[in-house]
Amino acid sequence: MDQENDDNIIRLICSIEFRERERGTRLFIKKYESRVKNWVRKQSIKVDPDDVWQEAASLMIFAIQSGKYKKYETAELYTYFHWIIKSSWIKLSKHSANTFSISKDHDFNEQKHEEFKPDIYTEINQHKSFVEDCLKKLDLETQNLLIEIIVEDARLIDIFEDFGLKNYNNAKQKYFKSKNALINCLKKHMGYGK
Amino acid sequence: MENNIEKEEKLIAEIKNTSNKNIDQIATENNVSSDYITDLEMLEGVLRLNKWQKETETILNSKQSMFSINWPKIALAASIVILISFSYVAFNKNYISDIVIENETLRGTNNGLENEKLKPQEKAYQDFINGKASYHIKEFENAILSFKKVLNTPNLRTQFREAVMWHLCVAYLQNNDTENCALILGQIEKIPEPKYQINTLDLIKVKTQLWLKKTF
Repeated sequence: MDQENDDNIIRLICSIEFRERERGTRLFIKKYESRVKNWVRKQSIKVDPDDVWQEAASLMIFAIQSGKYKKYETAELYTYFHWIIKSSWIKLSKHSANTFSISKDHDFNEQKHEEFKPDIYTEINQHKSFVEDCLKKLDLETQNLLIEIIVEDARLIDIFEDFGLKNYNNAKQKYFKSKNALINCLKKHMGYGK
Repeated sequence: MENNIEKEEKLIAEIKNTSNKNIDQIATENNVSSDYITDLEMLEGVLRLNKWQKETETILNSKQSMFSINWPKIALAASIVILISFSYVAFNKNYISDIVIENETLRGTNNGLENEKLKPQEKAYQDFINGKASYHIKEFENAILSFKKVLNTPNLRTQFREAVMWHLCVAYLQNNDTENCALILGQIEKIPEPKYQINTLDLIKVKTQLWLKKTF
């Protein structure tokens, strides 16, 4: 059970090693999936628990990896996660939160943790969609080329042919042109990077 | 820096190993602006996060596909199949696949040879047919007697002897004589290279029903 400690999960999820990130994600799933789905099933409006879980888990892990999730001394990870789950459920149920009562998660005291309620759902979703909108302006091959050089430390001279580029000079031009376009797009979206 | 990809690649590697240096220092050393370094750092973060997000979704989807299988329904279906299969082996009483169920054929004596003395082996065959007839009209005790008489005949063909043993075994079972059924079954199973092939399903049925009769 020590492995399922929140600190360990966070550490693994943020690791630069793929195997550790995978391990962390699977521990996160093992620790929280049943609880989330059980909560969804108890609600009066029926929403597919899988859909809520998928969205909420994806956003929570994104929040951890992007640094948007800040660990509180007096609240565990689920405190933060609960609000994301609730927001996902409200969105997927397509109703206003005020029009019906939401069943409680008996292990979670909302009043006690009200102060930790983040406006994170909208913020994270917006952040994700800004990034995706900018990336969509590039074709998938170009996105992967940038990832290989900037994230994976590959050398352009070794990989340009794998991306269907005919010569090295063309590849260099493509790299710089795409990179600059992406940076400008990201900066344009509300000063990304600050 | 523009179009100097080799310098760019070196700069990217250096940015990632910036434990001791700050941005301004790296910028100065590489003759670029601090903004250039900041932009590259930002881009690295965005692309890395995007890549990690795709991995997360792959892992979540792989768990999803596993949990989309409705295990309770599969378990229920499997239970029903097992129950039906068990019911078949526990209660189906057709153990002898090749039997001919026509009394006239089995008992017919209108061959004009009633008064002739039959050879022992011919007598044995006649007893066997009588035994089968008795079995099929559920006179199991008579069937047992007939089959036992056959087995007492000397010089029977091996295949025939084994067939009669099997018939005797099932007749004991039908007659609820579990002790003798088990005894004959044990003898049958010890035959090293049987000439008479017992259908595997029939064997399973007899063993299952024998166990049920002994247990309950």
